[in-house]
Amino acid sequence: MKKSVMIMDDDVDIRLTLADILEDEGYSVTSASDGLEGLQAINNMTQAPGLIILDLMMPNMNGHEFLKVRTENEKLANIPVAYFSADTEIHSKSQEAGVESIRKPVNFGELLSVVRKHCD
Amino acid sequence: MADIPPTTSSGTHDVNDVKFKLLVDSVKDYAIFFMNSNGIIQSWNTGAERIQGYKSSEIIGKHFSQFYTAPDLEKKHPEYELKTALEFGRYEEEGWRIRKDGTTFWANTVLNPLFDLNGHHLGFSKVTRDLTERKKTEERLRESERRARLMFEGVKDYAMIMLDINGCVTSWNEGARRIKGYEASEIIGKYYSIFFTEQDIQMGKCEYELKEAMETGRYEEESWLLRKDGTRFWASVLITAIREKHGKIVGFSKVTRDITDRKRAEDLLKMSYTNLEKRVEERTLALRKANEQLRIAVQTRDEFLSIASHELRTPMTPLKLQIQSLISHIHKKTLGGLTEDRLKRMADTTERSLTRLTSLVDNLLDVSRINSGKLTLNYEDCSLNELLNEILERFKSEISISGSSVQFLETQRVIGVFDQLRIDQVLVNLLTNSLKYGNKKPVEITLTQQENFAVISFKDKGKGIDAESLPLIFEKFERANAQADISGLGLGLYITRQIIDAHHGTITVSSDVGVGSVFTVKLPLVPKGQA
Repeated sequence: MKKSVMIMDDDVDIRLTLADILEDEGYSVTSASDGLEGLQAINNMTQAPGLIILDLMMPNMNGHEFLKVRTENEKLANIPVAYFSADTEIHSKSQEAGVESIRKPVNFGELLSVVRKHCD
Repeated sequence: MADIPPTTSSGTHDVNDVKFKLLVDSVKDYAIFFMNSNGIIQSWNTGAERIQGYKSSEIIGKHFSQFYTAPDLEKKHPEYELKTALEFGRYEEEGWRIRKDGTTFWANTVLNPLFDLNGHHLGFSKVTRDLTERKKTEERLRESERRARLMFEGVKDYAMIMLDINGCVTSWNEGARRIKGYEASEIIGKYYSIFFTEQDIQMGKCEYELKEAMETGRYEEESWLLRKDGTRFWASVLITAIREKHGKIVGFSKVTRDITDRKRAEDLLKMSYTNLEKRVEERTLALRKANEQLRIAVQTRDEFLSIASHELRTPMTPLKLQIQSLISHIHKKTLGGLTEDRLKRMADTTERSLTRLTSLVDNLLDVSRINSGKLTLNYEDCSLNELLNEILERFKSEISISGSSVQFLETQRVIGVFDQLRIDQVLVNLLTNSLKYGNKKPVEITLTQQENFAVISFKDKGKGIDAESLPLIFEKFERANAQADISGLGLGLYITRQIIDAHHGTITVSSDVGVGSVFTVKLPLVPKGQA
């Protein structure tokens, strides 16, 4: 059974799009508009998501702040994360943080391969 | 040689007489000869022959007047000499005499009358020295002194004066008169402090200068001195101590030159040099400042390009994914399985992303236009009520997504002459800003007319802007929340301000952190110049 995908991004169109195309592929998707909302959503889930797609620039709690909380939280620490940003240095930043990276705008196939890797 | 030595009373020649004769004969530097009481030469020594050129055989028996010049003979000077010598026991003089060869020489002569033991006058002895060389030397000296005096007096560009040992003026030349303005008659005898400024006198400068000249031989300096009329001049001064043969200081010479013009030129040069230095320094500073501004501008541009690239990539994401998903469905022939809702979201997200991209590109073009001064306005009649209502309708979906509700308070109809498209841009900018930073709380828009101005305000209850950032928000690429995690180019308020400025309107903001912000736009209803 496929694991679910968690999307944290403050851009509503990105959230809607990712949810639609991943659901098309048979994944269940939960969306949050910032880190704080995402944290609450995960707490309410019975089964941890297989992957968190994490935007970096978000209000309230940004991607970096979320990652810090995740590392310190036993329950979250094992959930794989993919940085999702238009930042030119996203790859080096993700390597430093020990997470995956997806640069905006991403190809459909590329996105799917990262999701499959963690959720199938 | 002398044949007739002076005879003794006895008329005999003793040994001493012979010795005396030999002695007299051998003297070479003095002409010594004897004459009888009438002036007839009776003896003639070696010196006489050497000085006057006659051999004894040629001259003994001749009258001594033949050595005299015509003028002397005319005034019977030889006779006068004999008479005076006889009368006073001695006659001495210096004068021109004639040699055998007719040349003259300057002679010192001493004439003594000779008497026997009984007091009878026997004749005269005459001792003559040739002082021609000394005379010439003296004359040369006198001539050179005369010339020196003439030169000294005639020098016009240098004040050359002499001071006595106490510093009182003893001589005064033409240069001194010209430079200092005093006539010799009014300055000779005066103490030389008369040339000094009051300050220098009080400092004891005169005494110091003379002391220095006395101790080291000279004193040299440049300083301000006074003319007779009280004006000052910049003087180059050299004081030299004057010593007698034995080294005793008897006075001072003082040479003064008026170098005021040179001093002025030097001062001017110094001043222009200082000015030049100052200007170079200022220019360097200005260049350094310009350089720093340029560096900041380049840095700002780089940051902007980085932000622009980031901002453009964000709306490209749903666009790209939606299209690629669509293609995938086409390939898999699963298009039919897509629900109407799903298709509508696809259309909406793509449309909104395209709008965002367009707006970003428009903003970039606007900035470039504003920067090159090409922002032109097309004025037309415009109802702000209609415009705002139309915008709110157009942004229905954005408002709904933002989570904020928007309340539009229009108390009256406000119609003016504006560039409608640009004012549309301003209002959209302020609206989307309020939605973006409004923290999902209600946004209030009011439209009123105050005299000849339309006043529109956007009030949100968001996080607000801190006082430090407030003055910067209308600048290019500035965002009050630059470090906070809200995306955007930071161009919106800059462009807004530029458009309002072009309409000769104003935009102001008041904000409290945690309470919210109010942006107020005031636009003249009629363009300036057409009122």
